[in-house]
Amino acid sequence: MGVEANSRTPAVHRALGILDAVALKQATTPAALAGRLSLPKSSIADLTTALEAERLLGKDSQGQFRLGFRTAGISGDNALIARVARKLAQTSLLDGHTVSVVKAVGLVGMCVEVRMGQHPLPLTPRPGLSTPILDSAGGLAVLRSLPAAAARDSAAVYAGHQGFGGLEVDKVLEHAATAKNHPATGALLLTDSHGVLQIASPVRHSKLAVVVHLSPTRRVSDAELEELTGGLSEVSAAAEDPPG
Amino acid sequence: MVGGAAGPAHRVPALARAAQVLDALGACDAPMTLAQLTDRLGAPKASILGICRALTEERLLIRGADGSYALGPRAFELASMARAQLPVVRTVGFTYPENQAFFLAECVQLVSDAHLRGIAVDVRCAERSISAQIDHIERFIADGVDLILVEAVTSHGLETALNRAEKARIPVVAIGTATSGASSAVVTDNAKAGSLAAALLARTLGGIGSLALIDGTAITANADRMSGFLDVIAGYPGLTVSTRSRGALDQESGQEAAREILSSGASIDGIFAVNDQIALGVAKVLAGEGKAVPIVSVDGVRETAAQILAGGPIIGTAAQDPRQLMSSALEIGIALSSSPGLGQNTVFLPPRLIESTTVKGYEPWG
Repeated sequence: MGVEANSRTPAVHRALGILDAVALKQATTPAALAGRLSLPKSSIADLTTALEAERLLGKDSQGQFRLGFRTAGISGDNALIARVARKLAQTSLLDGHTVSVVKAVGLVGMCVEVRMGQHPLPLTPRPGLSTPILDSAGGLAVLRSLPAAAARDSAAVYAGHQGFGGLEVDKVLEHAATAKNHPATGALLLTDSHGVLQIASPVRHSKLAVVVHLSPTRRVSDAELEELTGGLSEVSAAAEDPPG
Repeated sequence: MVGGAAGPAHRVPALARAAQVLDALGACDAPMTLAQLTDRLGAPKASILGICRALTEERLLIRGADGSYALGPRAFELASMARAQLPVVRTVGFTYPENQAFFLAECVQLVSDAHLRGIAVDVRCAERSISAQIDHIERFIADGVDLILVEAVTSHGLETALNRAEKARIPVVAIGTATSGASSAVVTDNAKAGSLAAALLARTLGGIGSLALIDGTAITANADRMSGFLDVIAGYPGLTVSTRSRGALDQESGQEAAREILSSGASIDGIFAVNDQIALGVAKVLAGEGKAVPIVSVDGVRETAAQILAGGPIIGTAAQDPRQLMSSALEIGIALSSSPGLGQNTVFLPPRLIESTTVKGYEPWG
């Protein structure tokens, strides 16, 4: 890996190489990893042992390496995302549509999970893709769902990191408050800068929202829109922490 | 946290630190400065700086305008890819009635099967309390387990808690006995177990005699065993049921039942107990009274097998296999999680009659 040569922590770079190879199923055994990464088998053994001990790497029932439970949790919100996936598998209302889970991170909407649909989009959402929050129905829906002070805090805590000031926060909060709603379900509707209609429903008590992305070439009737927003509300409600 | 303050159990400490940095930022809904990370992790600043630089180069972190760190795009990519590779069932909650050998064998099997599949388990004993079992299920739901396995204290009484599990979209598999509100059940064919025991007793008595029946706790498994026993006995006009009693899941209750039967004054030629613990308690009392009455039961515990091998008074038991019950329940639970439409179903596992001719090859579970 190019960044390894001058690094003081080559083990981190090598370990990431292993995780990448396993994630993409390019190599899932010690011998295959040693060949792919051009590392001695003893180094691979040390690294995979450490990654397994840290639960960043695991093994499937056939003894092949797979990513570990801790890796699934490094972006946080793992239980909530699992509930979204479970509900999506149970409902047919959103079948065929691209559905993403978006987290409000300061003034950015961060895509954390995607289930791809059948209709190509001008910009395909993928985990790790960050979008300015004014172009993110999910991010705006989260801010709108929070109490005013919490919404302000949620954005402002990233002010120094993302390099914005109070005026931008005010502008975003105003935009979130006035964004278009679906009249029946309250889902937030936003046509983004690529012409994609995003429909977002926030997951209460979290900074996440579930979003349906509709291609600009698709015409959606009112009835279909109502069905979609209804399905979306079901999924976001299912993702909430169940009552204790 | 694995590899936490106590230090990693491997030879690459930088990886333990890197994982700790990612955990800290993943759990915090705000960026963190190097100083904050150093304070949080209790590690030397230079070490954390080196880790943060490496993770930033790998896009797992991003360094902000003010120098603070937050999770980077690759953290979200990797987490998503890991979710896709992991089994649908990642955590299982299991609640069981009491620390009795049968249930402990189920626990051991669950831990073993779960370990092989990389599934985390939360195992809780209800100490015979249905309200404790309700609390366990509520806890499992709150913790967001992917699958709940229940060996119920009683067949009814968990409906409200299990409905909440259903609303949280967590499948529930009942083990050992059908349980109201569960998505599915894996049980021994208890009617078959009762009929196997009855056929052995009828053969032993030559189809003639007076019987005592000892029931157990109010679960459908016991009702099915008794029903299967009576169905077979009905075909032997020379066999009559002269007395009935009830025990629980321990030998003491079997001893009480035996004393009750003896005090009734009825003449008894054979006894059916719905589980081995009751049968062992009965055998102990009868031995103390110098009475030799053949006893049949259901379960297949080690002590019963030893009596069968020694020639009685327990002459046979229809063995169920807690290990197989648990393995099947986990399989079905995983299938339910992957295909929620699978719906209500009950799987019956066949029991095996252990008597004088088959006991030598039998490996008891507890």
